[in-house]
Amino acid sequence: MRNLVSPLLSITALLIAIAVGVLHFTSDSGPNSASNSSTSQTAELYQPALEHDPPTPQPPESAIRDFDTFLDRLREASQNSVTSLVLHKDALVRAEQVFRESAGVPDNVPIEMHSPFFTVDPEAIFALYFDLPTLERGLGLFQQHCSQCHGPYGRGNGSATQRWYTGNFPRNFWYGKFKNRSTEYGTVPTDGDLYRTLTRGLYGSTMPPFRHLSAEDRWSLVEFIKSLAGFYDDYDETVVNRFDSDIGNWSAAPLEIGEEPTVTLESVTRGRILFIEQGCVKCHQSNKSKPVGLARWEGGFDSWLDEMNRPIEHSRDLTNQVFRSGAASSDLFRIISGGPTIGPMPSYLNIAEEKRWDLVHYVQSVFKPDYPQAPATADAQANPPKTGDDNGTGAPGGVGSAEK
Amino acid sequence: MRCSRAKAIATLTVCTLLGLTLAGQHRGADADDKSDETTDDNASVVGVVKFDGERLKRKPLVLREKGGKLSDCHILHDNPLLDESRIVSAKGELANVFIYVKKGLKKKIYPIPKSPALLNQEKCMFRPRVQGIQVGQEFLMRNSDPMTHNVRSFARRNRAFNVAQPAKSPDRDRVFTRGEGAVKLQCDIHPWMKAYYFVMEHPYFAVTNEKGQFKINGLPTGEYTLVAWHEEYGEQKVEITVAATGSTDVGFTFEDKAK
Repeated sequence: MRNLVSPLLSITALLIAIAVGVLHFTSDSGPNSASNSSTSQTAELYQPALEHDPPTPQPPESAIRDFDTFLDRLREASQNSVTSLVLHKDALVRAEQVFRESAGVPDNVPIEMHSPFFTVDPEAIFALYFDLPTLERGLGLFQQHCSQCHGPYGRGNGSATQRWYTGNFPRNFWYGKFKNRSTEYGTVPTDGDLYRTLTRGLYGSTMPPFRHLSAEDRWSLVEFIKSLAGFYDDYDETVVNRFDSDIGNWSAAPLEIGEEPTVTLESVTRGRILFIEQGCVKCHQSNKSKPVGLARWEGGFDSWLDEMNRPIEHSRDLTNQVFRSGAASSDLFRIISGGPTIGPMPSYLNIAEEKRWDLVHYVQSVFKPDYPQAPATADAQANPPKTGDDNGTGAPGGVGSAEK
Repeated sequence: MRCSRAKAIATLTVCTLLGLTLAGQHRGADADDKSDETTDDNASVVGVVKFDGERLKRKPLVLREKGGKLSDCHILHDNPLLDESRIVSAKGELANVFIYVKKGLKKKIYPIPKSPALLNQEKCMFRPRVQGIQVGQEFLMRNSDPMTHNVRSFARRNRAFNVAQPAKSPDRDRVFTRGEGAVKLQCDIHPWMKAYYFVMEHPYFAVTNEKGQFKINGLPTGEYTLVAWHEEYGEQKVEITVAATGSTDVGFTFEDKAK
């Protein structure tokens, strides 16, 4: 008898759990059914929860001070004798060869454009870290946690890249180019952006979150990674760091993200039209019947390359809610405004802020079932794209082979 | 809120533009006052750029987008569009070579040209393919096509940019603040569309025409390093001496890199 009690108990518990679940589900789907019946009442219901990031903490004073000292030393060393910071020609040739063999650069792709970045001697840069605890700590942590993918010198060619099959390659930090930024296209990210990437990781990619490291450790890594963004500027014959706001114009204040407007059927529909007009469909679509379809182009194209001329396999699939830098409204707004700086995606900072929010709402409506869905008939309102290729030739996917 | 922000931005833009124009004029006046060398407009550097080697036939471009889909662009062209990376005339003269003075000029600030440099996206090609833009000069990007293009720059010293230009959208503009060597421009939607620009700190540069000819006017007397750059055949340097009057003849001959 006693043996029966515990299974009975657990079955009862299970039933209760199911009942609660069902209740919860029905109460959840309430707005959904309402949305189907009337669209006028639903404006408030579609207001998304506040998804903005919590304010990014600032780096500790000591980290800022150490990086500034590093920049001073770099400027001084570069002015006095740039040769000490530049690799000897033989070492340069070897470095480029090692890179080509280890980092997935196709044989037919020229590597000359990278010379300015290879020219800088990483060990000479590391030698400037003496007495700077933040950067020294960053260097140690980098070897421990990052070098497997990003390479011992941060050139994006760690041992793991020799058998890299998961899509985009790890960043080469010498370029100072990062996708996940709150700043304008072509500029360096803020410290907070790098900290956010380190903390969150990049969803759906090989880059894991490093939440398990202490905040201090993460800030050390941020400053270390910044110190790598150096290149030999053959125009001025100096070695410069991209994070040095005194040189060049690569630094910018973060873009302001205002209050998100309410999600409405109208905003989603406007977004759908903009998605066609602004050319988003050119890359984020594989089937004309759905502007955001199973949305990615794959393979067979050789001009989509990242900062190291390594192939970019495909555009982002916008339907599965997996975005490298996050799927919250503010994340999407940021990437649409600033562009990723690497790869073909442009910046849409030149269109009005409301229009960018419309695009965000439309993209989110594809994976958020409680968002209003834009009617397909809206597509006709999008201006021109006069396409000569679908005059009755059938599915666009098959056109390539058929018309050869 | 939004309206006032837009207004503020507009005001700022207008002010900046005004400021730039004024600064430009001011600098221009300065430069004129202080020019101690005799800048004779008749003095010029002229020459012809030749290509020594087998003249390759220009291949028709494959107008396909990513995924192999035939591009919209083919409706704009009755005849196949030819590759423009190597344009060699029947006599072996090389077009689209950028010639500029690299060394020898005194440091001074030159007047900024008032007319903008234009990059036109016309019939799914960038026009012109090679051009020089001065620091501070307005650089306009125009889409004359009925389809969307994007212009992506691979700048290293200036800020890189990448803008989308739907059909009928207004011209986009940029101003470059620092001199820079050959920068590639590319349209990612139509991968055959490529162009190159140089940002120059002085006005002494030229691009060769279809007969391989170029002419640089108004160089003060002195000794200079002249550089010729071609997207496929690389870079060449030559030392020249410019006299006060008359023209200085310079010749460049490029060879196939593979040789």
